[in-house]
Amino acid sequence: MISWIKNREGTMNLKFEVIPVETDVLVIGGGLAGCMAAIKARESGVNVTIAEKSNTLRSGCAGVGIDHIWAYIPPVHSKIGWTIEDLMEDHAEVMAHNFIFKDLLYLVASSSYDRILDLERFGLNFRYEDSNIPGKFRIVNQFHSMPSSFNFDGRDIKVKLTEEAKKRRVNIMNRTMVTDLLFGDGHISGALGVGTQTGDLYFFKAKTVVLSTGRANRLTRNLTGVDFNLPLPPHLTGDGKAMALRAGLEIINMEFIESRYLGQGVNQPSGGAPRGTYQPAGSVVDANGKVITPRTSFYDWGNLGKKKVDPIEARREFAEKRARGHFMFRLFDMHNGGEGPFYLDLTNGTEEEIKHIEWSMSNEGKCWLLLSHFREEGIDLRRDKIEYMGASVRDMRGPSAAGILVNGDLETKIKGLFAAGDEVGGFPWSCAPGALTMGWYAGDRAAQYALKQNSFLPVGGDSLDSLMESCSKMLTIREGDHWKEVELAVQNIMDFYCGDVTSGPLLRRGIDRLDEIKKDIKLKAANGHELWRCLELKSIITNIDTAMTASLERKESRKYPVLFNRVDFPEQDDKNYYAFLAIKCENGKFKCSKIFIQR
Amino acid sequence: MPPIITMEECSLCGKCSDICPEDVFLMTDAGPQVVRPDECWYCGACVMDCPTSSIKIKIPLAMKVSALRVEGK
Repeated sequence: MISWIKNREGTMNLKFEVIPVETDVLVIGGGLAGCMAAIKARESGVNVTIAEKSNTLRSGCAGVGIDHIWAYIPPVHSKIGWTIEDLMEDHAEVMAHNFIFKDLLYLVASSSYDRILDLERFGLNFRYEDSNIPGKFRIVNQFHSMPSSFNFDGRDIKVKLTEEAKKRRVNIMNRTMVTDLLFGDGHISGALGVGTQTGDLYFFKAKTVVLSTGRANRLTRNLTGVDFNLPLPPHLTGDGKAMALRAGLEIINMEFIESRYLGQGVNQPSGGAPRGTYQPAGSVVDANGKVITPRTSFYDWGNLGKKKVDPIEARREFAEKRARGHFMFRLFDMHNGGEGPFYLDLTNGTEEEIKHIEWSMSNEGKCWLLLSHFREEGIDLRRDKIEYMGASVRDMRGPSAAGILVNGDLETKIKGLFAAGDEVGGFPWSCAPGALTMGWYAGDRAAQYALKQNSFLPVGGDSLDSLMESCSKMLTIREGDHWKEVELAVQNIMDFYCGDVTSGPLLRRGIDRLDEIKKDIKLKAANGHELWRCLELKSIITNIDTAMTASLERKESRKYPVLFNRVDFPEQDDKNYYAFLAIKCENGKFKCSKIFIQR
Repeated sequence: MPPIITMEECSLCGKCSDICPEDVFLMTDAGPQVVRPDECWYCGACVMDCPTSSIKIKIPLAMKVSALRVEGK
C-alpha cells in the first residue's frame, strides 16, 4: 500500500511498496487471448503470470459472455463443399477488403475449430438436442457466405478459462495494470505495473512477454451521455498499443476509428437484427412497417450433403449484399438524411425463433441486461418493435484492426515480445476466434522462447524511478485535474477534429490542440483507484494522438467495410493507399510508413 | 444510479467488489458499498454472480430502450 514517510527535512514523502515478480512468461491482459496464452504456455512446464487490470473472471470483451464464435468447421463445411480457402477468401475480400495479413488469417481459420473443442473440454456447451446440424451444433449466418458462427452457452466463458488457468497453476495477478515494457538490446526483459486499487508498484522480470490488452476504447464520447455505457468494456484502453508505441514498435490502422451506429439505449446494438449474432433474425422496418433490410435467409440444413455449394457464386452474392452496406451504416445515412425512425421487427418470428433469440441474448455480453430491461419494461419481442438510435459511440471496433505489427509467429520486432487477439494489427473481425487462436499460438511460442532462455536478462534503466516519480506527482499535486475532466477534454478533441468525416485542416488543428492541452494537463489522483484511471488516460491520450496522426497521413477515402472519409481527398486512391499505415515513435516524433497490400 | 444492493439480503461475501471489472464497489466492514456508480458499464456481472441475488441494476432514464408498442396483440 502507499504510505507516507517523514524525510530528514521533516516534510512528508510518499513511499510505494515495490513488489518484485519473476516469471518465465508474463501475459499482460487476462481476456480471452491472455487466458488462452497462459493455459497453453503452462503445458510446456514454464511458469506463467497473468497481469490483469480487473479480474479475469469478468474482464475483457467476453467478460459477461459471448454467444458466437466464427470458425471453419470441418465436419459441416466439408459436406457443403466449402473449403478453408473459401472461408479465407470470403473473409479477406468481403469482410476486410484485403486489409488483412493472410498468414494470420490462415492461423485463425485453420485452428478456430480446435479451440472450440478446447472450450468444450473446459465445460462450455456447444451441442443441442434440437439441432439437425452434424455434431448437434447451432450454426448461424454472420461473417461469411456460408453459416460459420457457432452459437453457444458462452456467458461464463471467462469463469471457465480462469478455472482452467488456476487448475494449471497460472499465477493470476488481478487488479494489476502494466504500464511499461522493459527491454534491452532488442530483447524483452520485463515490465512495470501498478496495483489498480492499492497503488503498489510491480517490477516484473520475465523471459518473454505476451501482450493481450485488447481494444482501445474511450476515445470518444457516447450518445446516451452516460459515460461508461459503452458497447465494450471501458477498462480496455489500448494500453498495449500505447506501450508498444513508447517502446519504439510500429502500430498500424490507428486511423480506422468507426461509429457504432444505431445502438439501443443499453448500448448493445443489433439484438436480433439481420446478420446480427442472435439468429434466427428479424428485419429492420420504418414506422409504416416498410422493410428496409429483410431478415437473413438461412441455409437449408435438410439439404446438407445432397447438394454442393458453388463457393464463387456464393461469395459473389455475399459481396453484393455487403456492398450495399451493412444495415446499420445504411440506416445511419438515411437517418442523417432526415429519414426514420427505424425499428427492429421480430413480430413475424415463430415462438421457437423468439426463444432462440432470447437464449442467444442471455449469453452475449450486455445483451442479457437489455433482455432483462425489456422484461422489466413489459417489452415483448413477439409484439413490440425496438427503435434504433443514432451513432452510439466511435471506437476501434471489429473492422478497425488497429494494433501492433507482428510477424507470422505473432512476434514483434522486440525479441521475445509477442502479441495476440485484438492487440494485433491487421485482422478485421478477428474478435473471439482471433483471441482464442492467437492467444493459444502466442502462448506456445512464448513458452518455447522462454525454455531457450537460461536466465533472466538484466533489467536496467531508470524506468522504475520515472514511474514512481510520475505516480508520486499525481498523488501529491495540490491542485490538478481529475481524470474525468481530462478524459472529457481529449474526447472532445477527438470528436470535433477527427470525426466520421474529417479533413487535413481539421486534423492538423486537432493535433495542435492536443499538444496544447497535453502541456496543461496536471493529472491528480486521490487514491490507488484514481491513479489507475490516470494511467489509463495516458494510454487514451497516446491512442488519440496516433489516431489523428494516422488519419492525417491517409490522404484518401474508403467505403465500407474499411470506411474512412476525408473531404479533402474524397476518392479511393489504391495506387498510393492500398496499404496499412504504420506509425512509430522516434526521438519523440511520430514517423509514418506504408505496408502495401499484395493483390 | 446503478447498481443497488439490498443490504438485508447481502451475505457480505465480497464477490461483487471482487469481480466488478470497473471497480465500482468498495468492500467495507459493513459490507460492499457502491462508491463509484458513474464508472459502471452496465455489464451486470455483479447481478449475475451475487450468491444471494441481492443486487439489481437501475437503468438510467437516458439509457431506456425506446419501443413501438402494439397494445392488445
